[in-house]
Amino acid sequence: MWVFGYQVVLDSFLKGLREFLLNYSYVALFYVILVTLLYYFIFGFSIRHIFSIKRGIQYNRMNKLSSSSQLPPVSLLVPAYNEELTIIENVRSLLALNYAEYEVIVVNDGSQDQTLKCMLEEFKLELIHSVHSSSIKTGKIRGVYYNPEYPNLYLADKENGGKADSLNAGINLSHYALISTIDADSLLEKDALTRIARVYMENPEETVAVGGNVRIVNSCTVEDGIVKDVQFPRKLLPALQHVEYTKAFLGGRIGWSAVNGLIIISGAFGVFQKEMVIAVGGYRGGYPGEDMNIVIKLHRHCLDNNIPYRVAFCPDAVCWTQAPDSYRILSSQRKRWGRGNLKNMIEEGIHMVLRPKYKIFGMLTLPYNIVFETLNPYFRLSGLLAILGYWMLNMTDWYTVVIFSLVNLLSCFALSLGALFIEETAFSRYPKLGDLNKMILYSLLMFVGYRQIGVWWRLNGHVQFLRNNNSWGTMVRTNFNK
Amino acid sequence: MYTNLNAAIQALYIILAFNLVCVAIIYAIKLRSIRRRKLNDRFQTKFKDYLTYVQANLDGMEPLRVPPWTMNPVEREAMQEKLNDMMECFSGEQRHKLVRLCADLGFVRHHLGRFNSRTYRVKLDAAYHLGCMRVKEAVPALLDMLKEHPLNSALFVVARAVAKCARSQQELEAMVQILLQHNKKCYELIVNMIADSEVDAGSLYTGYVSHENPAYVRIGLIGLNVYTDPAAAVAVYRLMDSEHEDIQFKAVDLYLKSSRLLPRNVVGKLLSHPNLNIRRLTIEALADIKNTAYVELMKSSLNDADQRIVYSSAKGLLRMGEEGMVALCEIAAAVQGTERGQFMQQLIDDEIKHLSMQLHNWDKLMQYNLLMYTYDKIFRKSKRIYRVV
Repeated sequence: MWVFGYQVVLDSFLKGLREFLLNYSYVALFYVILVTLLYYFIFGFSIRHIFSIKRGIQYNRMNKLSSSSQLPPVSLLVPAYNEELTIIENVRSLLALNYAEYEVIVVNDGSQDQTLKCMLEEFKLELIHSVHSSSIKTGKIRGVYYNPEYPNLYLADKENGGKADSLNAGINLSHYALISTIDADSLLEKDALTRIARVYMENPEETVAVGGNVRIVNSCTVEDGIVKDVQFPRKLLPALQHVEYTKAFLGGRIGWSAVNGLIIISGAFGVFQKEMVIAVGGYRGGYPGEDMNIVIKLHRHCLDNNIPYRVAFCPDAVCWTQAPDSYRILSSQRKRWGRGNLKNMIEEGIHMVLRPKYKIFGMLTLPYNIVFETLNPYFRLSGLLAILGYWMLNMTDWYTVVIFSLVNLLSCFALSLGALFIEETAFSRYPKLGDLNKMILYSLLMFVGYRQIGVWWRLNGHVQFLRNNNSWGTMVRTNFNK
Repeated sequence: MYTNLNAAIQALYIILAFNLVCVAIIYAIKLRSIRRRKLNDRFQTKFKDYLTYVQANLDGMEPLRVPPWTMNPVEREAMQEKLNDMMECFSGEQRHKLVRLCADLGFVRHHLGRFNSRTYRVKLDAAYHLGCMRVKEAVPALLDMLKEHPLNSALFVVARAVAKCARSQQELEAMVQILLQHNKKCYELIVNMIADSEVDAGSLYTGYVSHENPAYVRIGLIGLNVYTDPAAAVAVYRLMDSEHEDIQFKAVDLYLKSSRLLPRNVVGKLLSHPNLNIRRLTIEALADIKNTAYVELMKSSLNDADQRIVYSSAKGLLRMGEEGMVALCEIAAAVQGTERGQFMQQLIDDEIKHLSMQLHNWDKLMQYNLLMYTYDKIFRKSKRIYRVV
């Protein structure tokens, strides 16, 4: 009698589970189709715009424009924390830019290594008593250093307060109406700022921010802060990140900026209207993801106050950055991104999502980001568990799983190919045929472990968020040429 | 479980075919660009002597001769690009010779023909090349294209082509008028494009500063900034009281740059202007002029409520020779013990330190001695001092 009861309960449980899994499969199928269609939609916009971008590159003479007195002056802000290995090369690259009027403000964020000493010795900087605005509250500035022989270089030494605090301090010190944020482990191409300025000059009042393109410098040859020989990364992790960056920047950001829905301007290189950044209270401190946060705040401020605006992306303005080449550093970076994304969605996103007042940003960008970026790890993990359930309950067979997996893989691979199409059509920065072969190979290899582990890192980031862990995490710098 | 496996398999075939087509296209683009690069390299070798001949004879009396070989389409394109680069680098007669060479090579006729194409891509490419070659006959058609062109980056390519080809002020005015209709406030870019023109735009800008439309006024002010014409001061004087803050600032900037003799009443008015940037700009201009007649006025700025003005004023006075240094030291000594006095003294100390590191430079050595003498005289009255000459 007891056995019979157990069987009934078990049967009814299994029946319920089957029904649940079946319904889940419909939801998952809908999710996958929707995300793929949205990806294709954005990629379509990117590809549509690439021809006009290509014409812009072809028909605008940057050399001539870069010496023009009509270019808007820019303050380059370089927050530096323990950057002794890269800071000199970085500053040298910035001082060598082809641009009429700009200043470089390095903000030493209480580094524990020799960053300050390196800068003082290399550029023979002396303490000055400068006056700066207090538009944004920041940590205490211990001193500002300057050498008239480098008239457009300033070094601010401040107490440790994080990247956002350093950027805010840089804004207070800056003299010009446009600010540009640049990571200390990155190198700008000589004409990168002119290219961004061109985009800005076409519509200066409405352009509140312009993002630059970030490429990976690993394995390239760097001399005097200039990337001389462009090479595809030799190591596995930077190579995988290379194809990932290409897809995100060329495939995604061009399209998002075309519909004025860009949610992030990479902290590595972006230009902003200082007045607007001050109007939104500057960078949010105390948590990673400040680069996404500032862009969301700009969208919100402009839409709340009916200010016509655009957040643009300039793919031909290139900043070369070091990609993490070890598992430990990469995982730390991705967990930080995961935390930053979640924090931004909770802090800002939920107040704007699906509200028509926020136009494309509220109706498309944020739902997309929340459902397909923030919640993505949960869909993926539950999908994996569901496949396990289908297999254990004989609801599917390996053949069906393989077919559906291949459909998913190839439809995602097509997006990587779309990004490569954009790269080859408009930029072709990697001249060898072998580099293209590698890019296609690594675009496929991404699906074998790398994407899955990325989901796991993001999930871990969420766990860290719930545990109130808001540290920056592990970050080890190396020389550019290695 | 019901799965439409056949539909999935069909989808798989379609996506696979799509992927293969994409791969084929990407490789085709890559191979094409490699081939073009190789042909371009070959062109550089083949035409090296000819291009040297062109550069060497740009200043000569004789017109440049066309190359003695026929060129294939890729070579013609590479030659056109090379000549475009040269035409952007050179101006005056040298550029005219290059333009004539382009005409002799048949490039002008070729691109005028392409400009009538129905394909937008070809038409835009032709517009760009016609602009590079300063083909004046193309201006009416380029203006027509500009009128109908939507607002995007290519609009400015066409506008620049108009500016380059223009031979009269009216043509430039027509271009500016069309661009302003888009209402995107791209004034700096417009001035930058006009700078590419062979027409002297001075009178155009002077006319614009008197225009009733603030957009034209802004273009005029930005354009006149590169002219050091005292007459500009008269033209912009009334704009210093404009209702638009940016026009006020630009007008003051231009006014200060246009003359080295500024009336004291105007300077006094500008130094007490409510706009901080105008006060700072005035101080910097006075420091650049280095006329000691303005020292008294700059001294008054040391009492400004904003520390940034005090800073600029102190730095400016330090650049104005002995009188400026004396004025600064006297004020700093007068308010010694206060926060302001301490700040000014720090600035003087900074300057002494900076100058002391550049004593190899004769001018800096003179400045150092002068400042030290003044400093010791005012701050260390009891100390015996010597003036070093």
